[in-house]
Amino acid sequence: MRAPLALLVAALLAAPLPALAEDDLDDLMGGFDDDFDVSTIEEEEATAPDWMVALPGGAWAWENVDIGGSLASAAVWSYHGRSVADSEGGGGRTDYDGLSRLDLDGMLQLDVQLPNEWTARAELLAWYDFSYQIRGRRDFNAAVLDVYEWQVDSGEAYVSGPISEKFDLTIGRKVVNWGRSDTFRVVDVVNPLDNIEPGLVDIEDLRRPRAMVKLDYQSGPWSGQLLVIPEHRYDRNPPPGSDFIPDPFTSVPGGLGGGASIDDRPDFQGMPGFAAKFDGRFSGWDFSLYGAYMDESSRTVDPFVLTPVPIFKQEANRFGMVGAAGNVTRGPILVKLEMAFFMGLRTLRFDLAPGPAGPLLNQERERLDTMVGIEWYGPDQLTVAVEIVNRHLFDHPGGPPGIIELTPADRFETAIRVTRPFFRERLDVTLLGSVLGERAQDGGLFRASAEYELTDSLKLEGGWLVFFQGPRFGLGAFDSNDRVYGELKYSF
Amino acid sequence: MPARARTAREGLVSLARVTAACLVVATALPAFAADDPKAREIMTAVDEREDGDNQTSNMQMVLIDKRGKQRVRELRSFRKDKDPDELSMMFFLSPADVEDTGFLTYDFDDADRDDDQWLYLPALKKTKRIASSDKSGSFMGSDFSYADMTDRPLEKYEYQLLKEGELDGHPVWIIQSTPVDDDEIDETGYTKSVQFVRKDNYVVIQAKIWVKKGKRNKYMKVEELEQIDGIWVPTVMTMTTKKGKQTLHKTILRTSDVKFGQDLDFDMFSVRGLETGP
Repeated sequence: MRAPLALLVAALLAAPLPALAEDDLDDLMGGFDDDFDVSTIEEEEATAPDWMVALPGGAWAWENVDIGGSLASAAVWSYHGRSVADSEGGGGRTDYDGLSRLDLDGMLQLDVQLPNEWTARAELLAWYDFSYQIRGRRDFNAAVLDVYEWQVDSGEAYVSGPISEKFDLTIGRKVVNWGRSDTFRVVDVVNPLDNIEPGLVDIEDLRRPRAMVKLDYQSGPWSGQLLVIPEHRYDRNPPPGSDFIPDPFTSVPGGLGGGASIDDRPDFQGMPGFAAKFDGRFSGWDFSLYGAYMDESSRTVDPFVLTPVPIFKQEANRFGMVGAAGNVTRGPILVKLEMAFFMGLRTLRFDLAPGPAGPLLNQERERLDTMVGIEWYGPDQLTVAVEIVNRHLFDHPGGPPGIIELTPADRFETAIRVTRPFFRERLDVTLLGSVLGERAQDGGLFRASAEYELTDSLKLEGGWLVFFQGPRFGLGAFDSNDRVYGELKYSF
Repeated sequence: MPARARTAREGLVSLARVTAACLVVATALPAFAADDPKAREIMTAVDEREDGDNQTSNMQMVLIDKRGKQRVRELRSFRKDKDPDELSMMFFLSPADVEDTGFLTYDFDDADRDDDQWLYLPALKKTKRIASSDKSGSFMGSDFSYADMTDRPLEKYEYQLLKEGELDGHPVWIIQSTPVDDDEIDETGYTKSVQFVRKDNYVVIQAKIWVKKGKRNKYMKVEELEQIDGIWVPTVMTMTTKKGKQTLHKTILRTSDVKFGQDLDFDMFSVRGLETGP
């Protein structure tokens, strides 16, 4: 086989070098015969309008003030909706089949460029959901209407800038996103979450900013961050009576998940939270070390013992965390690792020899969370990401006899995300699957969504969200909340 | 992560270098192509042409589909040499929904070494490391590919001088480049192209590229070329994708407010710089 190949090579090399005939050149030039005139598309040059220049400080504002935001309208249709006890003791039930949301949602963001490279930002978020008027407001309890019908909230609001060549200072309400995972929270403990519509909350609205003083340091591959967080804010969760709170929780007298009274306190009362991280970034890999001592973003349920019948209270709980995270890249592969050791967490367990607090006890625990993930960047901008997390409780008795834990010793979660753009990035498609339990036995969800760019500022998004059944709490209880949704969003 | 943001992650090399980098020529039988010393000498001069340092610029990409509908992307770009490598950072200015999305790239001269890349997503307030991917994909939905935006190593190609002629009143060399192996064809997605190199300044002002996938051709043309601080910068370029004689898509790339020799510190090309914004 080698001789004929060698002869072929010799023959090709002996051939004269290609010269470009005039016909070939005409053919080559032919493709450029495009009558499109590039000058017909003018470059956009923004200049301050005369009326603004005429205002006091108008020219400065044009240069230094930027107002942006979005206006969106969304509809959600629950096609497996069920009826839920209204949690107000009247025996009424709320029907959640059909239209679940029809809202108008706005976000306004103001950025101001200050002297000496300092900046200021303020955000305002608001929405109104018309579906409660359409379905009849009296079919919903006050807690549901309070959380879902309308909302006005501040987003980030801070000033930030350099205080020396290597240090930046930020003061105000801020979101700080720690860790490497795109799906799970392991070392990401700084901000509480907005969980009111699990699986559907917009990513930009997922974290709730907290007031803090943040000091950042950067020198070469090293960087660090110190946080002092005086504001205590908590996760926003579905209220009792909503379709995301299962009956067994809302119907318990005195309520466990729903009716437990909240030991509230002013947001700025008590000891501030403290957190720090240290990063090193190098070619092909990086690492971060984390530490935090702050209140949990979710309140702990505590059996309150002063009355013969236990009263459950939701109250703040302080925890400590040390953690580490890292990335390694090799070609199209990105490996993600996170690990966090928590101290001072509190979990509920049953006590089969009940004391004055009833059969439930609150116990301080330690927990180790570990996340391993991998992302593959394929052809045509296809990305596939898989993440697995395990949350391991220490000193877990493993169940009966005597003591039964409400929280398992090991809790596994797995997520798979596939994304790919189409039509020159006009259409983005995302598939997300997430399951609980090492054999997916504790429920899960699947979401398929697509976002289509109608114009530079107008986008249409649609999706399908399906829950898989599991035990009747958490994600596993959401199986009757399958829904389709759509949103039209204008950004400016 | 918005795909638009994600897919810009590799295009951080100065677009002024596109004409020197993207327009390689490949043949279906690359192993048999012969290297012409004169053509290689010209292409070496193209590659070594002064492209400046400590550069800042604004970019506007107008994407035009076959029905004439337009989409616009605007970016602010920063570039600094760290011999022999290059650091670059780019921020979306528009569309509004991805404003402030930023990309940081350490582009290594060593062709066998993966670039280091980070992406800042303002919606998540998070900086994310990104792995290298297929360079033949579209850059931000445009007709330019990632490969167009990065320097292709000269040793990966063989060159032939096809003809000398004149284009738009300028004497040019017409040169064909051929990848020496299939890996380069797979990486760039190009199987054949021809470049027109101006004799007076070694700028590639026009090229026809044969795309491996879909039997398509791409046509690059420098519409406006300016000398800024002594450095030739294509300030308006078009890239048109055609199948036969039918135009499928076109991109106009404008580079404006180009400045060289700016006070760009190495520490600026960091996650801190990415999160601080343009």
